[in-house]
Amino acid sequence: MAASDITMLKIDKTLSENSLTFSLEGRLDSTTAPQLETEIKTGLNGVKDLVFDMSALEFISSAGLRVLLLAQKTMRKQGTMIIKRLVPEVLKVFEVTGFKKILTIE
Amino acid sequence: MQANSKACCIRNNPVNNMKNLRREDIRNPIGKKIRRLVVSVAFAALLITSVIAVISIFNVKRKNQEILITQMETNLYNTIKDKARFADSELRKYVGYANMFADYINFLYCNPSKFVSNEVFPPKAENAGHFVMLRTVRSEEIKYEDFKEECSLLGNVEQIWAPFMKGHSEVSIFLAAKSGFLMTYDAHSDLSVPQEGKSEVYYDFTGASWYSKCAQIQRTGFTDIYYDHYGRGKMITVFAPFYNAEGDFAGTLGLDILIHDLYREIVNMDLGRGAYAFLVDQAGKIINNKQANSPEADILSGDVDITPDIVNEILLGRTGVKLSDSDMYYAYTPIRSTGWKLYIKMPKNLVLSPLAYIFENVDFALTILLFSFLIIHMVVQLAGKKFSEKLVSPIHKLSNDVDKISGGNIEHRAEVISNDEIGDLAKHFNGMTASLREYIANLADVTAEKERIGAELNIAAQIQADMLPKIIPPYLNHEAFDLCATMHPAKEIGGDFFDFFMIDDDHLALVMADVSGKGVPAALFMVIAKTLIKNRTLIGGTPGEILYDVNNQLCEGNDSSLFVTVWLGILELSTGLVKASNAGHEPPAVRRAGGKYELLGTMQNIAVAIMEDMEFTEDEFTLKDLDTIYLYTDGVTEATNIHKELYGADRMINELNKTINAPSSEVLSIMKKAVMDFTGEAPQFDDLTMLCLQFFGRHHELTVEAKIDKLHDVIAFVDEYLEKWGCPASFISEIELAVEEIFVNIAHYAYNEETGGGMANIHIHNFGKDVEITFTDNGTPYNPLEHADPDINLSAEERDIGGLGIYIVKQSMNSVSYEYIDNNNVLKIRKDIHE
Repeated sequence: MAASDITMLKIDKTLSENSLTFSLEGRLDSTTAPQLETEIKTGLNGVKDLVFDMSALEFISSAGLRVLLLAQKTMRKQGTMIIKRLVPEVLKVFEVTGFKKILTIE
Repeated sequence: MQANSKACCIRNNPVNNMKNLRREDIRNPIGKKIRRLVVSVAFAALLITSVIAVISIFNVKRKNQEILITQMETNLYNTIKDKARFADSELRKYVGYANMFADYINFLYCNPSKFVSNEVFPPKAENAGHFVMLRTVRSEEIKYEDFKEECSLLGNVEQIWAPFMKGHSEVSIFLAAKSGFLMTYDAHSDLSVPQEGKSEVYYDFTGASWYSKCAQIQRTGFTDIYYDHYGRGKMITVFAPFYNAEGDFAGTLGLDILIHDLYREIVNMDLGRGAYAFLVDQAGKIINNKQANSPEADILSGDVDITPDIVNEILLGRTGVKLSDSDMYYAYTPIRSTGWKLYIKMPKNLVLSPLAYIFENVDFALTILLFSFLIIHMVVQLAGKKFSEKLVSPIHKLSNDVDKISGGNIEHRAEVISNDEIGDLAKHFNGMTASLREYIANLADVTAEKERIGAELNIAAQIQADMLPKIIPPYLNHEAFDLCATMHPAKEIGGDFFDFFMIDDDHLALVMADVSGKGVPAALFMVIAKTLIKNRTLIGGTPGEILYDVNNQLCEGNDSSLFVTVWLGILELSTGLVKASNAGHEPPAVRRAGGKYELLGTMQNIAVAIMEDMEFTEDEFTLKDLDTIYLYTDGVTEATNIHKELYGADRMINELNKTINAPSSEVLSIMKKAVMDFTGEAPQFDDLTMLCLQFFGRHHELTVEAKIDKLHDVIAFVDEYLEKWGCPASFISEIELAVEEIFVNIAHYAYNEETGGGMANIHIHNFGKDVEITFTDNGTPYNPLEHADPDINLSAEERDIGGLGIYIVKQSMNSVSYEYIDNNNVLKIRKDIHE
């Protein structure tokens, strides 16, 4: 994997009434986690159902997990948060860190 | 193979010959040639002979004709002269007789006293058939008594007439006296007897030409021709005057001659068919001939062949031979005594009749000649055919035999059926076939033996090739190197070999060697050398020690004095350190990463198996990341082209430099092609043996600023080697996560914002089965392992995000360790590649 490829995180937002879906593609690591953190801090007002589609997410580090935890904490107050379609490598990180238990994963 | 192809050639030859023959338009067999030659020669000889014969015959014919004609003309001329002379003499004979009788009568007149009276009587019929003297009276006025005395005197003439007539019955004799009586002596008394009442027979002779002419000229002469009044035929009369005692004319004596008798006498000759003799009188009348009965016939009448000039010649009394226009010969001459002419008329073909016979014979001879010619020609044809068949049949026989032999029946023998050159040829051919058979047999044996040996050598070569290691895992796609080795054997089995094997996880042995000599001994020695080197190397020790022991072992019982040049290197994969020893081998070519190939300077040692107890010095060098080493035998550098030029190290280095960035297998295929292109048509004398290794290294390091934005550089660095080493994707993914957590940790805690950026060093080390990554920084001393593990059973609200990263690292790595050494934080993580 070349260096240029691993810098990328692409975030697609789909807002439907009070339901928001983030489709993540690329790497969610220490360098890209702030992007998602910004989206969550600014974009969750009025959102009742938050969905993360992670089918195209290749990598996640503890920084990414931290952002997801932040989102979870926000959504707990105003609705639900679901993480969908994890690739095995990412799922393994969720398992190792116990995040599989504290997040709703489909 | 060679034997087969030769046999094929032999077998094919007659077919080719046949084709050649067919391609020729005309086949010209020897038999035909001989036959043609014999026939031609015989024909020519016959033809020449025949032509000469025919020419000769015609010459003879022509000459004969000329001679015959000349001869005939001469003959004719002589004959006519002879006949005339004969006629003349005959006539003169009668003249003589007449003169003699006239003289005798004169003698009677002059001497009457000497003779007695001999009375002559008139004819009496009863005296017929007897020669008697007879009297005839001129006229009735004259009485017997008037001339009785004179008559009785002259009657004595009987004395000479009687004997004369006995010898000359062809004539009649008589005398007529002037006094008036006629006296004859003959046997025809009955023809004219006195008439009734008369005593005498009367006949007035004075009117007869013989009397009147004689009385007129009073000389001996001839009358013209006249018809005998007795009917005996044409006659002439010789007359002679006789005189009395006073010498006065007393009368005429006559001799009648029948022309027929005279003519018979004259022309009593065989003139041949169509040839006639003619007598012509003074008046030009033909006296006698068989064609014209009339005495008046002249020369021209009834003769269409005669020409006026010949008539003229005849009448002028000339003598000669002439050919008329109608091919009639006329020979003519005068008869002096009578003034007559005699001529002979004769057809030319009668003259040439002897020639005609000759001509018939000539024609017959020519016919015979022609038949002989044809027969001889046929005989010669047949004989030539037989002869040529006899001559050629052994050749045909031999040819058939040769066909059989060349058709593959090598056991067949040509039959020797003649004791000539062809027989010799058959014998020689049999000899040759025997030699050929022997040769083929030998060749078959030799070939079989060669094939057997060749097959065995092929198997040996295969065994030898099989002994060489294959590029299979772990050497295929090895994490630390890209290795390829090939041997392209020469035609003859040789002693080149390469070898590579792992001594342990971190040490790779590389061997490139060349046994002196070729063939089975070299191959066997190679097997021993390779086995000994590998076994000894696996025991352990440096290349110098290894070669020392191998050398001693190989020297034992090396009676055949074979030796082997060896380059032995042991590469430590983790460090790239190479320990090597070169025993008389070509130095390796090494390319430093980003540079060019160079020959490595090595300590040279003597080749292995030459002398016992030799020390082998060692070289040490280090392969850095992406360095390449190329090992080879003299099969590369001493490859020779058709101009006897060696490929040489310079060309090799140049060609290697064209292969930069190519995988090892491609390097070797390019080099092999280059060497092959160089040698071209020249045969490959030596094995072409090469080994190429590109070293990736087992440990790499990166020093970067310890900042978050360098994270991806660090990840890329780690990924590069993990991928090059062929690590699985899940392994790489876990390493990436651990590297990020640790590097971010350093960036966050080792250097705070006040102290500013410091450096972090990341060192990755591949130990073959596991990978170790060491993070070193000289920031604030901090042991992340001391941080308590997060409680992962807490709820989301209770979870603290701190410490999660290092927890992930602990969970995914096999080991994590921290040390503070020389003012540096040193954190190591280690993980099995294939867990």
